Amino acid sequence: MPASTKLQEQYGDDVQVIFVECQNTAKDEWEAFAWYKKWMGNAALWTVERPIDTVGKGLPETALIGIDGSVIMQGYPGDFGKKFDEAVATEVKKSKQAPAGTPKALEKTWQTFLKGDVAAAIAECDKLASDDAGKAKDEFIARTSARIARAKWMIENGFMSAAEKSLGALEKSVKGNAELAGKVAEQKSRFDTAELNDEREADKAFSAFVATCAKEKPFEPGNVKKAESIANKFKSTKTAQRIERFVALSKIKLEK
Amino acid sequence: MKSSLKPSLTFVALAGTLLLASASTATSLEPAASAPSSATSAAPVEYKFREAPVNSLGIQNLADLRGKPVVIDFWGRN
Repeated sequence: MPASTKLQEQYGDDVQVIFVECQNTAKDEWEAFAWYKKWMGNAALWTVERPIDTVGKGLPETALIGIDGSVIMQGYPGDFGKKFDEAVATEVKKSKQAPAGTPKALEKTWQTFLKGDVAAAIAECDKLASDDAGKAKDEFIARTSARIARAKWMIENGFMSAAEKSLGALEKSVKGNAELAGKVAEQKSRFDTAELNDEREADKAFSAFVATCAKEKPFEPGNVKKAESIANKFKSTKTAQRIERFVALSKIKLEK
Repeated sequence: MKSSLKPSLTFVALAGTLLLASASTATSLEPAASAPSSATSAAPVEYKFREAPVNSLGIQNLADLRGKPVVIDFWGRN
């Protein structure tokens, strides 16, 4: 656990860690436990669903899915030693390069895309006008559309700070591509509406609170009071609902 | 008689072993690691979450993460 948390915090958005609770523990309990152990407050996901089957008979077990979606390593972490961290570093490096097998003519285009200039990368594909360029363009559009869809989800669910960060990056990336820029502008317009003022302020306050308290003692009475004051100030927001859950989790008595 | 009984006993022993093995994999995983195994797959894995993970920020399936390495940490609270 701490090793994966460290990986998430070390690599930030370049790696996605997914924690899967495998012992049928009640969700409230394992979520409270994760807060208590200071494992929250980063980009890791938490679930009880196993995206892939486990292969061993015991816990812990860890797996690395590479940038192409295949399972590169899976098993008992103690067996891998430094090899696991090295494999993660290799995949991160690969994620910043054109995929293996990319035709020479498209390598620069992929670099443009991976550096964040989606509009320029798509324009280069149009200029090359080959089948491979068409496939690369489809991939660029699919990945960017997925980011726009996620920004939309963030707005709808009150994760306004994350939405703002994502939309800011997307705006720069798609500038010059009318179709994608239009889709981003649509979400930016929703984000900026006056009726979401409280959502923006509430999430900003709670995100700052989490960033500070997650690595200290999140369930200290003083911290819980601070969270409650944000919820009271911004009642009827999605953030207030998340804070209510945080407060409820803080009241769970953990056995150890 | 002896020769016909021997295969039956072997079968019963084998069936018992298989039953025990399937029962142990059907229960939740133990906290302490036992004989670890490892695996890889050449084909991309697909999975769509039935319920949004905590902190998902809109990630609904593994395909949303394509192009980024994913570390899965299977753990147990107990």
